[in-house]
Amino acid sequence: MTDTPLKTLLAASLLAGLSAAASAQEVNLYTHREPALIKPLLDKFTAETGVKVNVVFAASGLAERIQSEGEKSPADLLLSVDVSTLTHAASLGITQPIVTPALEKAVPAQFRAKDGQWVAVSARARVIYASKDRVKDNALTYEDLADPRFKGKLCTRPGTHAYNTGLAAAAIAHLGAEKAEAWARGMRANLAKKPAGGDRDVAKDIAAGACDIGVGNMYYVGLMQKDPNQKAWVEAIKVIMPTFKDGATHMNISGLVLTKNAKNKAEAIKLAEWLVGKGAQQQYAADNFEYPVVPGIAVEASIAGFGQPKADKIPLDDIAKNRKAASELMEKVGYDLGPQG
Amino acid sequence: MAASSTATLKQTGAANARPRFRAFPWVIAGLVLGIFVAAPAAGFLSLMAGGALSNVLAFSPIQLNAMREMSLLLAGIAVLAGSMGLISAWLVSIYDFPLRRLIEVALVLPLAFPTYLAAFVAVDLLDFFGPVQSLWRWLIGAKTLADYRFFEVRSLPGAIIVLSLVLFPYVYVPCRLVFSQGGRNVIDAARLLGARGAALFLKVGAPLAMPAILAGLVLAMLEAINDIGATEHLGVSSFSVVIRDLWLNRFDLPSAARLAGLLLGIVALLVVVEARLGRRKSASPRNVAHPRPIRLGGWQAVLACFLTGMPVLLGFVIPAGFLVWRAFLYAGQQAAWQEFALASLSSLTLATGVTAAVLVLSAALAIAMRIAPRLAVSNRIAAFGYAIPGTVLVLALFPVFRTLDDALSLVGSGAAISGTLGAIILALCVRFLGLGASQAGFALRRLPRSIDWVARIHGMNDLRLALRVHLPAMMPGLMLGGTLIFIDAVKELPATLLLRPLNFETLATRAYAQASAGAFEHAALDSLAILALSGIAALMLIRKR
Repeated sequence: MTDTPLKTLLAASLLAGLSAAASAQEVNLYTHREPALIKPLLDKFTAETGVKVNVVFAASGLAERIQSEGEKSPADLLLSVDVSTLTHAASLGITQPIVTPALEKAVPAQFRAKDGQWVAVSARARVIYASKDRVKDNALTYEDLADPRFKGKLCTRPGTHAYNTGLAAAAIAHLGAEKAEAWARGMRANLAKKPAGGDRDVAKDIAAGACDIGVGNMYYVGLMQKDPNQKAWVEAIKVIMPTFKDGATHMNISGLVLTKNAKNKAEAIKLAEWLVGKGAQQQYAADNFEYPVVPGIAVEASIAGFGQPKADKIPLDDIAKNRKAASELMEKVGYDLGPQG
Repeated sequence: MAASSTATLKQTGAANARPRFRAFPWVIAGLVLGIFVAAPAAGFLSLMAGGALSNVLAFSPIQLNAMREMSLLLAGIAVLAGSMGLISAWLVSIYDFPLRRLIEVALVLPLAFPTYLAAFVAVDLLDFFGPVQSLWRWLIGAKTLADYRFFEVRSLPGAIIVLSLVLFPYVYVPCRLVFSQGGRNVIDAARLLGARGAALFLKVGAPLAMPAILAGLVLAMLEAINDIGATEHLGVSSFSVVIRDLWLNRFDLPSAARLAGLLLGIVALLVVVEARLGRRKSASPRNVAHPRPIRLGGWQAVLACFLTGMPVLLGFVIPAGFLVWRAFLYAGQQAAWQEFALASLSSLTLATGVTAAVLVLSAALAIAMRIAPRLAVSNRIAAFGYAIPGTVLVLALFPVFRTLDDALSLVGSGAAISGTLGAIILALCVRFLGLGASQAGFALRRLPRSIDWVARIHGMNDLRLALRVHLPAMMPGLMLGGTLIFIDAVKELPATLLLRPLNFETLATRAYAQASAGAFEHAALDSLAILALSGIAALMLIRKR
């Protein structure tokens, strides 16, 4: 009685390990995005199309894995949460253009690579979290984060984290290298404590009174509201939709690349097109509190009230090119050393 | 007759002093070290190649700071974990006090905690919204951090304490072995000569345990060096974070690898120091009667109970209890019991497979070293994989897997090692070979060489000698090494995460995925299962021999 399920489990786990061979009607997805956030969507895709999605998740290094696996790589698609990871994958030579009439029709040009190497499936805005009690402003720019009036009042996650390096890359694009450096120095001078933890910890620190203002991705606000344990953190903050002074909100994306050696190309494209379809975009937005990349789809209600991000005229590809400079900038100003350092 | 047999023995002994050359130990050591050390090392070198060479020594303030924090972290762990392990081992071995037998066993349990889990639990328990500070605020009537001060767990001191609390058993276990077995006679003699209390501890106990402390601290520090999740979560700028920044933000893998190489140099230094200082082992005859442990009463008993009980409480009971509470709280949301069961089975199968594979390799290597003593240095070389950060090791293995896959293609096979369980097992063999080989080698060194000579005189060939004499002699070492490897393999994250096949989850990868999605509370059940598996194994470390 107890033997049979155990044996089945064992067989299944061995099979999962030993067979890399592809059968019909499946697609293999490597993802840097946490499986819990995409699983409901993938299950729905399978239910609707009959195409099974096999998944492996890792925080980093999947592009290198695909490169190492070469022609035998089972990966058809790589899903990542940061545009520069996607451009990096393309630069490793492991991708092929993911361009179809349906994708071009659904996704505006700002959310597709100029050379067709990646396509976004969702967008996220980097916004300002501020204490409801202690911060009076209701509109701020990214530049304001470096304003001396916030001295000793700023909390962020480490400057080496992709989300902050991405913001710094956008700052270089919008302000130029010199002003971006002054901005990063100003932000470091404003820090209340050494950068640590993640974006949720920024809200937590503001709620605890350790600081008054911080930077975080918008979707964490929705996720914290949904979690009974974290509701108290988010209730202490208000969300300010910032722009650079030139009027653009820093958006990053989660997106897909199609691998060069994709064995299930048809299914992979089917999944990509399905993900930018109306139903999937609605669900993705509703489950994960991100911005749809397809025009005309509503943002999740609880975050819609925080205002619409202002579209950036600088293409994401160009911001991604500043990534190395941004990382060097954060290092140069000693951001992660914290206020004293 | 007697004279002639002595003469024969002498002749044979003389012959053995210059033994005839045997090729097979070299072949075995060459194969094991070639596949599991040289190949990844070559991969590592290929990562380092390319890019500007100047990068590695032009340290930025951030990198210097990471080095400073890392050194302080390691020094702090050496002091705190070292003294916790030493003192608790001394107290439970020499004295008798209430709960001693229970505490003696329970002191190994913190080893079951992966460092990343310990860090997540510590922050959840101790930060502003955690139960401890909430209670404190309620007691003193405070509302926000502006009203009171509290220990900041996300700090260097916090990281030292959290890591020490789960790493000290690496020191406790070997120290206890010294106090209860290896060095017991010396301690007993000192006691008979009137040494007591602090003098007995400082003049006899601590010096006797020094090699054991060093050996344990090397393991503890290696784990701290390789850790990335815990130190990052606790806000310490570890070297691993800097390495990752170079790789993932600047896509400068060569510089990242060179920094990892520097780290490897530091580790090599640690290992050499340990080898120089730590090899004075005292042999002790077994099965002699020991005097009874000294019975403590009154405040002394309470103090001993407190000193040995606190590490157990803080390093295991409280964090594990917190996880149990969380698991109950979220049990309703644990929809996928089948996936949980499958992950548990995967963890168990993988850890068992890896342990078995490493032990076979370790035994083969130890026997080769025994038969060809010139190979002795192999032990140090085998430690290579344990000394590089896990993710870097995987990146170094990618070219190796690529070569293997290409070789498979050449012989017309469509199969690949990449993306299979084989890849994880291979990577973890590289990682844990040093751990197994050192334990096997150490156990075998206790066997006098004269036994080999006698066996040869009786006509045993090398194979029979290895199987009938060396293997049984190695068993205690293999058991100990195997247990440590099993515990580490259950907890292992970076290699498993990055190399696993599609749809393959272990307990550690599931817990990590939940935690990195910011929902650590949903990882409680998987975390507890990790604790159960590695905790049961840890208890084997302490069982009566």
